[in-house]
Amino acid sequence: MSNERFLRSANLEWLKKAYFSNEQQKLHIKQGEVLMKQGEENKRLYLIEKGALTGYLEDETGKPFEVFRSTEGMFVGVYSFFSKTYASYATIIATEDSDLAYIDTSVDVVEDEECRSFVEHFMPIIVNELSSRQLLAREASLEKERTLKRLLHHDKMATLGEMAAGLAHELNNAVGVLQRKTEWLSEEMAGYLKEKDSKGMFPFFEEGLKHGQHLSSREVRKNRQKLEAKGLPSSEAQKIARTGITDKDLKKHFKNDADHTNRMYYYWEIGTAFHDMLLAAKHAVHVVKSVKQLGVSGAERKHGVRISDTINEALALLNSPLRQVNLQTDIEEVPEINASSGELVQVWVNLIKNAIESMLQVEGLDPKLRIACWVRSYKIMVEVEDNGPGIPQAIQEKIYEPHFSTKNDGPVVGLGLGLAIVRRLVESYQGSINLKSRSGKTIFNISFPLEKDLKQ
Amino acid sequence: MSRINIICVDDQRDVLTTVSRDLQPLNNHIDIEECESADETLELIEDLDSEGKHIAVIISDHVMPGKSGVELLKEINEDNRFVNTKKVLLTGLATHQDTITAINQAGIDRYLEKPWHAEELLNNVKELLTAYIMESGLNYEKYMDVLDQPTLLNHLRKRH
Amino acid sequence: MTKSNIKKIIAVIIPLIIFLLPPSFFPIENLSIVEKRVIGIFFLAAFFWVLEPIPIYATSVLIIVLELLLISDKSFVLFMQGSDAANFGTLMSYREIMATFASPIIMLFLGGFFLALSATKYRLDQNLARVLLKPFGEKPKMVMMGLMVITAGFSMFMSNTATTAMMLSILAPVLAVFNPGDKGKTAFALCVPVAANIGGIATPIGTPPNAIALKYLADTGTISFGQWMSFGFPFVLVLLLFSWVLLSALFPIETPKIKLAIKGKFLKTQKAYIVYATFAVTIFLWLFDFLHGMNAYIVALIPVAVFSATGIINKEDLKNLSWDVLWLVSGGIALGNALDKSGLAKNVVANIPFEAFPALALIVFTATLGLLMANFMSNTATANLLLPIIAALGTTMTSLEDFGGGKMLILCLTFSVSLGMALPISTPPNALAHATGQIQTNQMSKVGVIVGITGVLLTFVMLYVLKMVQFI
Repeated sequence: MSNERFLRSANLEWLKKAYFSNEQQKLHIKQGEVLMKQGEENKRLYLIEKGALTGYLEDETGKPFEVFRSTEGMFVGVYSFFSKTYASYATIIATEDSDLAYIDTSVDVVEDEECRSFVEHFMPIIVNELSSRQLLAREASLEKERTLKRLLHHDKMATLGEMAAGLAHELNNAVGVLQRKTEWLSEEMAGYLKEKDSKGMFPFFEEGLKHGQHLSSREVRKNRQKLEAKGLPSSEAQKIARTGITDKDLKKHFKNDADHTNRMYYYWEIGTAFHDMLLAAKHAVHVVKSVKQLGVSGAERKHGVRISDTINEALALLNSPLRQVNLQTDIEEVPEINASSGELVQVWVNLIKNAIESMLQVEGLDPKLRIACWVRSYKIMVEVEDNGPGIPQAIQEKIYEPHFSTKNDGPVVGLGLGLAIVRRLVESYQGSINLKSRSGKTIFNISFPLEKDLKQ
Repeated sequence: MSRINIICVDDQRDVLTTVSRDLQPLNNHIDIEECESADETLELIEDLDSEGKHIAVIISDHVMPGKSGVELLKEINEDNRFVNTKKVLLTGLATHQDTITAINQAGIDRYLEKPWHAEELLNNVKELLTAYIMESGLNYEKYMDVLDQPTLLNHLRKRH
Repeated sequence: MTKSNIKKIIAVIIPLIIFLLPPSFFPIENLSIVEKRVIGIFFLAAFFWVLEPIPIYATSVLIIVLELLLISDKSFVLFMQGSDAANFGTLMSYREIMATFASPIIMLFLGGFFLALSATKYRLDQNLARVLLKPFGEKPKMVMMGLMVITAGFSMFMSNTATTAMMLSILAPVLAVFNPGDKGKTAFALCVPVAANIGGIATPIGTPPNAIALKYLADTGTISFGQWMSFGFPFVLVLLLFSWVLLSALFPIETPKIKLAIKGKFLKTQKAYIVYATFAVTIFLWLFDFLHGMNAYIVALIPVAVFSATGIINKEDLKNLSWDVLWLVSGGIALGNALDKSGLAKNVVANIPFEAFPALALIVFTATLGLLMANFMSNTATANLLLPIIAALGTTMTSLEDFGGGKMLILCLTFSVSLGMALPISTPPNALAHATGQIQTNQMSKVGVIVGITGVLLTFVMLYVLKMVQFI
């Protein structure tokens, strides 16, 4: 742009006519041909009448890299011609078939109305050339900076991903052993207790193992108070209340004997301990599995991935933060697609996490999160809706930019990588992401084309 | 003689029962109550307080549906009926900001991280229980086996 | 029904029955109405102090209020009906009953509390412990001796509980590094309460029973602070040495070296110097009363004034004073006064044929009873209950004169009461040491019983010597 302005002001037309109209001093050069080589003698100043040329320099290893690109109406050889070194500073190759006109050192000054000298005629061109080269250099360095940053970021993410995967792998075995051995031990224990049991206590173990403590603390307290009112000592009442056995069963088993109560509770407590351990182990296994998939970022896409499954996995990963909100899920079974479940889990984790965090910023809000998944007209639709403060119109487009954040927390290991990645991933599936947001209702709507569309 | 209570708060029932299980050694002298939410806790302490019972220690998780643990402890901290009540945050998921709020505004006495060690939890609770009993002027001799020695001795040294 | 409810009911019903019974029911001739009421109050006190349905200091307050209601000259009209009858008995002045809250004995203790409080506040206690422990080196047996000497020394002027609390917290890190199987741990944990219990015997302010004894001794001829120490101190030294030998023999220490690390430096502020000086002056005045003529009670108020005026003891600190101990003692004094002034004590003694008892048997019985009761209940409450009767007995029994009379019997009982330390519940220091978890109850009992009995025997020896030098 600045280039053009310069050339116009230099009265290019006059210059061209005055200096570059000599038919003897014209040249045609084919694409790929070398006009001049770095360091070789050049006493000519070329005007590109048609086509394009590119200048290259060699780096320390001898590999060429681009330094400038000149197109129609621009000059080449400015440096060697005007600096009087008469040596080309770059290698110039035609990027396409080009027509050039030139002058050489023997040129005479063409008189104009103002009687300006030759140098004066060409001054704007020299300055322009210098400035455009500087511009190019600046852009190059900026671009380099950006690349470096991107690389670094990518590197960081890759490391996080690898770390997560490594961790998951390490944990996988440990958690697996815990789960397997807990199962085994609970079975063994059941057998042992059944054999040893002479007082009919085994059912309490089974009850505990099957259901755990299924009463809430409030219900336990109510039960206990009822039992205490019947004259039971506080500690025994607490124990019986916890097991949640009904009044009818209680009459059958209850002998108003502390030893009996204690034994009964003991059996039940062992049962619930195994119940909780098995549940905890199962949960741990699930989380580890999910993290492992997260770690495999950019993983190969396989057939047979169900989006609904990936949503459930994301929910399992976010089990803890999700406890702070009311979650409603309407997830239908959807057809399988060709995808990397790790990538999809990452999409959901990001969206859900953002939703939760935005809602928790509002004090006194009863946070509600709705996640839906269904199929409509050859598309799989997913919606993540929250009743948070919403995203202001002004920044709705900005949220997809990398590094954009409304919070200062920085990335959470392996999880929140930002909406930029969400969009990139979604678009890589030829999907689309839409945002509707006002205060109290924010919906991210993601759609994926169904498999047969993907194949087309 | 009104009983002394310790209240455990956690919305995950398996975690809650594990916490109270770990505190069972205190059970002979102290009542251990369980609550699954902050609101339930607030109701319970109202009830206990109206029965003239002592609330010595509250051990709360942070991340819970409804009111968070820090909010709960903050509320209790601002209630002049519970000035001596000791507050413990037992969590694995508090952010930096939560922690700062917990210390500056909820005046928590201990911050314990999940997963916890049974013995560490018990010792911390014993220390706080001892401090509560001594600060409330209760007859410590009755609770001798569940008190923390160094805390008790420190309090007694100041009395003449 | 819970255990504590049963206790409450027993403790209330039995005295109530006694109140309601007619005077003629009691096997005492010419029992007046007032005397009968005093019997009721006495039994109420006894049951309440033994069973402890309410805190022991509360029982004391109850005694004082009951006296004001039932046997004072300004009480409820109905209770004073028939006061002109021949057999009504003499009512007590309400002023006299109320004055027990501020009796000289209470003032003596208050002074002691102020000294102890300032010592703790200005870390004089801990710094003294640090300096005094140094000469005992690092050999475990010597360190133990050091601990015992210092604990006993401190408990002469500070409360036994506070002294034990301080010494145990100094000891705690050391106990932690002992080998698990080393019996020496028990020796160390036990030496502190034993020394604290014994140490209290040495001065009138060392433990409340001493002060109460001082009240009854005043009736039979005063003993000054310095005089008390002249026999109490050697007694403590000998018994302490015995306990040290006993503990070292019962629980041999395997650990070759022990290092007690006590942090701190003597404070060098103006206030700290005032504390040091007042401490020294007060003790000097207590010991050398024959030089200046002021008695121990008056001297005791000097530190109270100095520390209050200089702000060394401020409003907040006052809350840390054991007002409960002062009230406990007041109640005892009030009970004693009632027994004495109503004439009941003398009446009872006169009605029971003590004269027939051999004097020696009575002395042994007194010591045994004191020792036994003190093992199961508060030492002070034991003294509160037994001292008034024993004092009355001592003054009336002529056969005792050969052995030193009333003075001798009071001292015998007072010393025995302080020697009750066989159980964790015997004294607060015992409870604290037992709670360290290093001592089993049977180990404590073994040491407590041996030291207790030896102590009583030693008391007899001491009293014999005192009689020899014609002190009593």
